[in-house]
Amino acid sequence: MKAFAALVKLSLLEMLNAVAGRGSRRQAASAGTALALVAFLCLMLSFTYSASLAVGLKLFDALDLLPGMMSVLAVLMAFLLTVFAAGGMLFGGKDNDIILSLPVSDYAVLLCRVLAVYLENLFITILVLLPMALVYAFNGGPAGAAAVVLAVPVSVLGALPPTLLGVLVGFAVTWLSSRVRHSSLFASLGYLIFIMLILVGSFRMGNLFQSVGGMRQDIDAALHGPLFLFGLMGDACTGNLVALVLLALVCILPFLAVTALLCRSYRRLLSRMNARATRSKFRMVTQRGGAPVTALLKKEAARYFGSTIYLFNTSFGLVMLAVGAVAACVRRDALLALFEQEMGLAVTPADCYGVVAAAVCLMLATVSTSSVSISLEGRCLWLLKSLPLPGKTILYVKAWFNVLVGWPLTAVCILLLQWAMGFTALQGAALLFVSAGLSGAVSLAGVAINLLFPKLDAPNDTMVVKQSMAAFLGIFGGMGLAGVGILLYMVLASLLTVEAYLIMCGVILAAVCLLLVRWLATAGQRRFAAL
Amino acid sequence: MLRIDGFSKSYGAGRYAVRDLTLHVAPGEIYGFLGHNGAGKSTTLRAVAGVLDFTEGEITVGGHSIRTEPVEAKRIMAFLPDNPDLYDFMTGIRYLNFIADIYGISSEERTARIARYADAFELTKDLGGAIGGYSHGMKQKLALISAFIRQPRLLILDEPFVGLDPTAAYTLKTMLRELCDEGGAVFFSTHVLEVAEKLCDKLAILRAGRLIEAGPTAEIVGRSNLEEVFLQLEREEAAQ
Repeated sequence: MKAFAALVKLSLLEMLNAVAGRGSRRQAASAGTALALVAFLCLMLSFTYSASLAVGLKLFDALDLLPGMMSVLAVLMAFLLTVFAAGGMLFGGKDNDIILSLPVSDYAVLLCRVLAVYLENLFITILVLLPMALVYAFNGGPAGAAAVVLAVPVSVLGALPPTLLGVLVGFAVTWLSSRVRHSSLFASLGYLIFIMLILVGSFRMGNLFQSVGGMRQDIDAALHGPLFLFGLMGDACTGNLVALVLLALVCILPFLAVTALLCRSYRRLLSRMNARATRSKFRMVTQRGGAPVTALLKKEAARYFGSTIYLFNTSFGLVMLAVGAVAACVRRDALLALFEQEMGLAVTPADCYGVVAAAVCLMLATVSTSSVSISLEGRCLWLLKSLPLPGKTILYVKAWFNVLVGWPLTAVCILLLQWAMGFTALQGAALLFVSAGLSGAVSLAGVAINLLFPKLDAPNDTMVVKQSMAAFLGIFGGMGLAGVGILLYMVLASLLTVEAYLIMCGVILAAVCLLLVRWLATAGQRRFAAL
Repeated sequence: MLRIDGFSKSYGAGRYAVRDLTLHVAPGEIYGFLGHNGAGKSTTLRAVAGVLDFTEGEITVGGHSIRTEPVEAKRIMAFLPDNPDLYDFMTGIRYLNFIADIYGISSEERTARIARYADAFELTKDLGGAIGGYSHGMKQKLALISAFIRQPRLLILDEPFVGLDPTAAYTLKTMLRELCDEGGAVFFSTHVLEVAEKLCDKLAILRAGRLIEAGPTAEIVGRSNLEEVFLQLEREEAAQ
């Protein structure tokens, strides 16, 4: 038990270091403040969403569905945000040799690693369910203030199923990829297919929840039928203690049973992963040369495509953008109907330009490989620093790679959207221009953020990509930048057309890029040298 | 080839890892760097390689200051830290090509050099495998190959013999001597005193960040052996 407690303490310390770093107290305080700010923003978003949903449900006398519906959102979000992390947390540790050589059971080691995934899911479920409970109580839900108290144990229990699913997916993908040659590519494709299935299922569930008025009974039946887990969570939040006990049984027992089963193959799977084929039949042939910058870009690409967690966590927005663009081409009318429902008035495709532009910018702003690129060098940083290249060149290449990952595909999506929605040439050009500026700004800012909040000693890449301060700031900072732009347009809407506003933003972003380029060449380069 | 003049590295609040170190490595010399654990050897080597920032003293490589002309200095040297971490996601050959691209080595030259050094270290057939699957010794060999293909004028090595099998260790010693015979220089740290005594033309011994002995190996060793000299020096310093 003591050994298990020591491992748990180690896991928690690693997570804390991932966010706060081991720099000065001032840096840790900044990191803590930034994290608190992000948590506050997420709480506000969740609160706003719950409140608007509650208003709609009350119209149909269906407020009691709120906890169940928000439970679906909480668990789904938790799962989507952590499914990529689970495999890396369980199998990607750089301290495997040390930990597994300790006199601790494999089950204890597995549970400690799962703990990191669980805590992330718990953070998400609390962020969604606590505001929901507040809104529910405020709107006169039966349990009243008790709903807020009950939301805590419901969140604690509700974080277990997505954790278990993530662990199962992580095990499955790792097991399969350990048996094929190009394991990283295989794992990435596997996750992509899985995510597509989840998204399709989510959209179908979303359609079910949208027509509350006509389908109240259907939703109720679903929440107490195939979606019974969310029904139990909802009922537990409203004061049903029997539901709470049942929820505990449904969440805890399968979790313990499945993890106990999986731990039997954990060590074997770890060993198999570590014992990759080293004896290849390589024969020397003429090697092709390339330029230094190309070599650095190829290195970034090899790392990016070789790590599922890095690929998906930093580029999930791109996947959503591509799906949206394709959907606009093949299901334009259904999308227009969705817009009409949300905006409450008939719209033509051209009317959606502003919303489409906002969506494109928001999703592009989350593409942030550069905000963790330096941290991912980890112990290999000496390699880059010993090369005969100026520090600024290395930093620029990291930013440039992020642009190459994000902008070309975004440009294709914009052209598809322009064709599907019938935007004018000026509208398309304005969106291309502002997206280029945004991609550049986010990329350069990402490198700057990583220089300010480096995390070079993480035990695994997953912790860098998912839990480091630079990763938080890279993604949420980008979203914040796009969000500020959207809010600013609401103020200036009467003065400028959307196209003109986008062009103006593009010019501002270009200026920001120049400033960041200058910073990286001076203070940034010095910071890099000091790492 | 290498001039270290008054080099000091502090970590704040008066804590020095290395204090006021001065030594010079001439072309054609193999210079051994000895000292107890935590003496400051790795700190010094990393500073020479331009991997570690410092503010006191000066380090020049081939006439180029590592602080003001880092690119020029790094172009003529190769550095290997102790237990070198390489890119696990690359294959061995891909890593070597990466280094060759950075140093602007032509296609024909890199093919010839990789073939030569990979054969010498018996790593050719493993170059197609991912570095993540290499043993420690294989990584060490790959790192050494990546250093030699650059044909550096100065080789900075931190404990290069750790993890090498006897054949590879012999190959490395031969190559170091060849490099120096061709006008290059080697500056390396080691805990293996027998290797230092046999291989090095000059030695420097560091203790608690300070240089306590430096000069030709034959003069330092005298009629004794390096192990006895080293231990005696350590005792004398500890007594002061």
